[in-house]
Amino acid sequence: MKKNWLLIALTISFLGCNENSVRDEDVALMADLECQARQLKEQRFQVANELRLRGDSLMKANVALTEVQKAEEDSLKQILTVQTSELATRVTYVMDSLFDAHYKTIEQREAFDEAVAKKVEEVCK
Amino acid sequence: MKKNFYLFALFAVIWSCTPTDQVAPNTPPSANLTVNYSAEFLHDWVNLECHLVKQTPGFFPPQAARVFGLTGVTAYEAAYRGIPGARSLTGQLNGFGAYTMPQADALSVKYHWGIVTNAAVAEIMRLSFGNSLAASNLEIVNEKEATNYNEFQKEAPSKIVAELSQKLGKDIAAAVFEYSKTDGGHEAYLRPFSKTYQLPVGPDKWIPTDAKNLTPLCPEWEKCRPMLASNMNYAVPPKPVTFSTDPNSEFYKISRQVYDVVQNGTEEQREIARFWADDPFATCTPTGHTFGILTQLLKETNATLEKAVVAYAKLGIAENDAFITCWKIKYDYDLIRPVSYIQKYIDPNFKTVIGTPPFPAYTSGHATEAAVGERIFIEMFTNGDGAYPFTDRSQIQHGFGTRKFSNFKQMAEECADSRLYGGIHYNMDNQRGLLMGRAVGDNVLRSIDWPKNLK
Repeated sequence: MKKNWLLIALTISFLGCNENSVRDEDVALMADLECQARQLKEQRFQVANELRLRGDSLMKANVALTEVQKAEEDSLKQILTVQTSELATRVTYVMDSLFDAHYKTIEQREAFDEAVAKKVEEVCK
Repeated sequence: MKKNFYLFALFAVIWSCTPTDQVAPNTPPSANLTVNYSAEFLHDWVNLECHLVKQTPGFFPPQAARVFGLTGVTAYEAAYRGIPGARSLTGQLNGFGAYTMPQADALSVKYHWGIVTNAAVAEIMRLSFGNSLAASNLEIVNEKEATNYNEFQKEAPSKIVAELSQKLGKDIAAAVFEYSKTDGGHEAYLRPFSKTYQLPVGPDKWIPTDAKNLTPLCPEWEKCRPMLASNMNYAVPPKPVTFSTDPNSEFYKISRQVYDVVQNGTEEQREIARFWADDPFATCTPTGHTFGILTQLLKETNATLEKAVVAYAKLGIAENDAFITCWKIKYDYDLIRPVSYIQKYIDPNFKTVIGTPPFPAYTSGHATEAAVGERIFIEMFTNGDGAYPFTDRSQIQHGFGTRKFSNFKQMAEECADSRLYGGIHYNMDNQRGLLMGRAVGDNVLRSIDWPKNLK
């Protein structure tokens, strides 16, 4: 009986000492931010494609973009650029802080990357 | 006699205890070496520059490469005096005369290299983004400078030394900015699209690829002064494949290749095209991407301020010159983009994976600048073979996943290939762009007397 307890304690301490273990709360935090960034990216590319398609049609018809249309494009891009930039600053700050605090080695960071990527696939539909 | 002997022995002991770097010429006191400073604050400045490039109007890839270049040069000039054996870039860069730089005596004033670099980088950012910098971003720059200064001044030997360090940094930035005013790219963010440029006309010539930009981006960029004049000679590629619409011709085949790759591309290829796109719409351009990778590498290798300023200067100079040489070739040939050719001669309904940027095809700016990164990274982080397994996390902030590479050549080649996958470039644009970038990168490493054995 004593021997079994010793074995369990040893296993727990071994798991606790696993240098590549990742903290669930860190993974959840990063996955949430990455999911937001991914959704924003999809939105950016969708807008860019729509603008491109409209531009292609106008060019084929030999019609120039009006000043109003140009201003609309600029405004739309500006909104998405600001949103992307602000989120990018947050993502970079959180990732750097987590790396500095808990994931110092390349192996730990790779384990963290993997866990976050898995979580993003789960939560980011 | 005994007294003389003791005196002699005492001198001998004192002499042997004096660090050799305090008596050797050109070597700063050991207590005040750049290697003893953390580079974290400088990495934060580079990240901030990415943010500024995104949010400031007119910072397209050439303009962005230039400001990253100026930041690299400024940071190096701010900290090189604390690096044993390091020389100023004055007298080494094209037109950068020694008379432009403020004098500093690092042996009699114990400058705080963190304060000098912090002030210099803050000032060059304010100056090089000019009046286009949004008030909110100017505030971020000012706050960051003040926060770092307040931290660093606690470490400075005295308030006066902290102030002298601050002044030296600002003077260095002012000198670099004066140098930049005559390079042809000064305030180019105010006029990225030339209205007066006469587009060459012909079946092989570039035509607008989007309705918004009917004139090409920065056609005069080729007239900019490279930081190393010789980069313009080393990087010249051969003429592009001769234009033809004959289905048996080489030109038709390379265009058909673009068409086939886009039509049959895998999901991964499309993702690679988007990952490396770095369009100015919401990311900080290809140069910003490569600077982001460099920052990551410096952090992972625990590089000090010593290695960081040298690395940012090498990459900055190379990126600046890569865009000038690439733009010269682009406007020497004004080659039609694949999308225009394919829609006219192969399939009128052809659509690229991502938008085609508004300037000629040959050669690829992405390939050129990524190859510059390849050469600088190989020299800075490997023993010359380029092997360095790493994960590019720089695009997580923009909604992409990570990408893994086993060496820097693979990184640059994937970036180059991404332009084919996206339908943006012919493969020759990419392959010759890689060769150009490698030539520019090697020339930057070879032509400047860089300090060695950095930590």
